Amino acid sequence: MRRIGQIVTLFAALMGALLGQPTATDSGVRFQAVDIFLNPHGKPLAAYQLEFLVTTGQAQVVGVEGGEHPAFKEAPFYDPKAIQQERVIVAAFNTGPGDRLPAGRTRVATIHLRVTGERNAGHEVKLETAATVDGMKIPVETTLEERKPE
Amino acid sequence: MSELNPHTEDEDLQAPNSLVEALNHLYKERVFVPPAVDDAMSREARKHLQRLQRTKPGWKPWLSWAAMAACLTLAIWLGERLTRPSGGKSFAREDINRDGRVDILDAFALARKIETGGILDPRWDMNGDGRIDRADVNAIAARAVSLAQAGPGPKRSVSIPARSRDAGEENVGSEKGPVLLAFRICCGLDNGDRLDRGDEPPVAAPGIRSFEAGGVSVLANPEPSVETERARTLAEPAERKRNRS
Repeated sequence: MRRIGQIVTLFAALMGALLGQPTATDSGVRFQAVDIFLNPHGKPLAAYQLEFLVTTGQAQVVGVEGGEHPAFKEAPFYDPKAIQQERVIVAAFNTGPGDRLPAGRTRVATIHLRVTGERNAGHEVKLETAATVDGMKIPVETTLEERKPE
Repeated sequence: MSELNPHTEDEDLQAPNSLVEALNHLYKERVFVPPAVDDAMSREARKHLQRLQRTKPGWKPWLSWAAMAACLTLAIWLGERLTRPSGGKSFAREDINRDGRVDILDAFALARKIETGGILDPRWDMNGDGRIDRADVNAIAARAVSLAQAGPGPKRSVSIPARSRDAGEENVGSEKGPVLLAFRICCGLDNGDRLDRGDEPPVAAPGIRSFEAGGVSVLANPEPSVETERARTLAEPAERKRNRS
C-alpha cells in the first residue's frame, strides 16, 4: 500500500512538472496581426509610405497583407529582408481617379507578427509620406489596431 | 580790380627803400634748433619713410592678384551652376519628382507619366531593358522600401537576444533542466531537437501557410487575393518564372 502511495506521489509530481512545462503551442509563441489605418481627411489617398516598428517585446514580422479598400487591396511593397526583422517599410500607390480612392479612414495594410514571450509586443508606425491624385503631399492620420483573434 | 589800380607797363613800380631793407633783415635772423632735437626728428622721419618704402610696393600687387583669382573662381563657379539644368543639385536617378529622396512618390510619379503618356527620360530605365514600363516603377518602389536604403532602425528599449528563441524553449534547455526534457522525449511529447531550433524558420500558425522565397521564409495568409503577388515578385523572381513555365 505504501509502495502504491509512493508511485502515485511520484507520478503526480512528474505530471505536475510536466503540465507546468510550456509546450510548443502554449510556450508564448503566437501570431499577431496589426492593422494599419490611414485617414486622409477627405482627400483621395493615392500613395503612402510608412515604417512599422516593433518597439518593445519580442516579435518579428512574418508577413504583410493588403488593405480593405479595392485601391489598396493588393499587398503593399515591402523589402523581403524585413521578414523576421522587427521593422518593415511598406508603401503602395494607385494611379486611379480620385473617386476610386479612399478619402476616409481605411485599413491600408496588416502586419503579421510572430510574438514570443509572455508580453505583448509594442509597436509604432511612422508615416513617411502620403500623397493625393496629383502627387501632392497631404497630411494623413495614422493609427494602429491589433486584430482580435476570431 | 584793374579799374581800381590802373597802371601801364612802363610805369616804375619801385618799393620804398625802408620796406626792402626790413624784408631783407627778416630772413637773416636764424632760429636755433638744438642738435638733439634735430637728430631725433631726422631719425623719426627716416624711419617713417623707410616703412612706407617697404610696405607700399609689397602688399598692393599681392592683394590685387588674390582679388583677381577670387573673382575668376567665383565667375567659373557661378557659370557652371547656372548652366546646369538641375540648378546645381544632383539627384538620384530614381528621384523622379526631384524632392531629394527616393520614396513611393517617385514610383507613383513614374507610373503616372507612363499611364498619361508623358515625356519619359531615358535615365528612368532602371532595369536597363531598353523600355520604361511597370518593371521600372517596381524597381523604384523596391528601392523606396529597402531597409538598406533606410539605414539602421532606432534602438530598442528592450534588448532582444540575437537568436530568436521563445521562452518555453529557453526553459526546457536551461531552467527546468535536462531531466524533464528526457522525460518528455520518453513520453513522446518532444522529439528532442528543440534546443537547436534557433536557426529554423518560424513555425506557421494554423491558417497561415509559408513559402520559401529566395532563401527567405515568408509566412503568408492563405488567401491568394490578400497575399501579395508583388511581394513574391520582389522575393522570388526565380520561383515565379518556374511557376509560370
